[in-house]
Parts: sequence; structure tokens; C-alpha cells
Amino acid sequence: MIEATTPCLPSHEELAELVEDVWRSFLDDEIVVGLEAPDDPDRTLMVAWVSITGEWTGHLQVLTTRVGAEGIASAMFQMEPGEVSSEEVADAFGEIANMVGGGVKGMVGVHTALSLPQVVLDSRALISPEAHQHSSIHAIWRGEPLEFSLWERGEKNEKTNQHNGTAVGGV
Amino acid sequence: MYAIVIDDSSAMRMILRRTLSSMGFKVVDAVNGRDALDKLANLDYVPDVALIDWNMPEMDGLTFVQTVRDDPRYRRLSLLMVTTESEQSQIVRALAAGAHEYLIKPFTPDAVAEKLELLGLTTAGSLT
Repeated sequence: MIEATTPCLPSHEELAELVEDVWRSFLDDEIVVGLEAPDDPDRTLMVAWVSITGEWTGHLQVLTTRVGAEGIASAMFQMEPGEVSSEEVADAFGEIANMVGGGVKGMVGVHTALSLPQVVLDSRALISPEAHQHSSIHAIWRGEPLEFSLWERGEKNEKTNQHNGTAVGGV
Repeated sequence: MYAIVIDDSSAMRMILRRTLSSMGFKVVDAVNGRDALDKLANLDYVPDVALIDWNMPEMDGLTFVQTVRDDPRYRRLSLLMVTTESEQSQIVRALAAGAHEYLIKPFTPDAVAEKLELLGLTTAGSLT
């Protein structure tokens, strides 16, 4: 992989491929991506994220329901959904953010560092000051909605490219 | 064959333990590099391979690799980084520090088997 001097963020398609790879590899299952956002903004959602810092700064955030996060944990630990502890749910859900975020970090192409994953039970408690959403994809797995979004810290950057070569800053 | 899995994620430790056990490995695990050094010091054998995450609290995988490479007790321990860090520069950095092989997450059980085969620890078709 050639390392670029200008951050190059993944396209929607590349983000979707990353998510599908994680699901196939670790949950031994398919996830349906590329859906419209669910029309239920008041639903309580868990959020997991990793921060990427350095020559490009932002974070990768994953949202799902508590049931969705329990499903992820039960698939990873090969246990029944009701058997997984809160710690196991947070660990497995955080690892999803870590793997997708790690993939994004590899695509950005400039020197960055990846944080340890963080998990919060209610996404409404999360505020990301000075960050704007660069892109997001919606998905469904076992009937539960998921959202994967990439956030960029600071002013929208005219020099930030997308892998298809399209400048996305300042639009 | 013996393996030590070093990852702060219990889900990832479980997945790697399952994969390695299916190949006949006996597995111990550790939650970070410091914990792994403690576990290794208390074992009465040296594992054949360590599977090492990069980003961990307290002692990260790269520091663990550097530490064991400088310790003659662990000369025969194969070091396999298993991490989301996928940039070429990071791979080069890990190999320069002493890692023998590098596996990027997400991975499949077959990919783990291939890396272990490259390290001379398994043969093709060892997954059960």
C-alpha cells in the first residue's frame, strides 16, 4: 500500500466492504448494507467508536440497539444472547468499531494512531465537538439496525480526498 | 504445540483460542504485553507461538515484541502480530522490531492457519 501525503478517506463502497469483511470473518454471517436510515430517531442506541489521530483526525462510530450489540457479542462468544454479560457486550461491540476503524486508518494513508475502543450505552450522551460527519452507511443484521459513520475533526478539509478521487471537503 | 494469545479484547481472545484449539494448540491468554510477560515467566515451557495485538493498554504489542526479542529465554518463540494496523509502515515497523509474521484483522481461520504454516508450526489442512 502506498502511503499518501494527503488524507484519503474511504468511499461508501469501501466502508461497506470493510463492514462486510468484519461480519464474514468474525460473525460468520452476512450483513445487509446500503440501506436508508431507519425512521426512528428517538430509539435508544448504543455507540462504539475508535479515534484516529495524527495527520488526519477523526473517529469511526458504530450505532446499534442493545439487542443488536448483544447479538454481536453472542455471535463472537458463541453464547445465547441472554447469556452474555454487559462487559462482554461492550467488549465485542467495541472490537467491531476497532476492526472497522483500523481498516479506515489503513486507508487514510497518512501517519495516524488508533485509540482503544470506547462504548457508551446511550448514543444521546455522546457529543463530538468540532467534528462533522464525513460519511455513513446504514445496515441491518438479524433485524437490528446498524450505522457506521466516519467523522472528521476540525474544519472541513479541502485537501481530504475520497478513494475514488473526489474531493469531499467543503461541500 | 502451545500458543499464547495476547489481546485486550476478550472476544478476540475467544476467537483466536477457538481457532488455535481446532488446530490442536494448547492456549493460554493474556490481556496485554505486561500480563503476557508475567504469564510467560510462570510457565514451565516456552510456547511455540505468540499471537499479539498491537493496541493494548499498559504494554502494547510492539513493546512486547521488542522485549521478548531481547530475551534469550524466548529465542524459539515465534511472534505473530494480529492487528488492525494495516499500513505498510506499521508492518515494516513490527517486522523490524522482531515480529516474524503479520496478520491483519479481520482475518479468517484459514488466514491464521496459513501464517502458522509459514512459521513452520502447522501443515496445510490443519483446521478441524
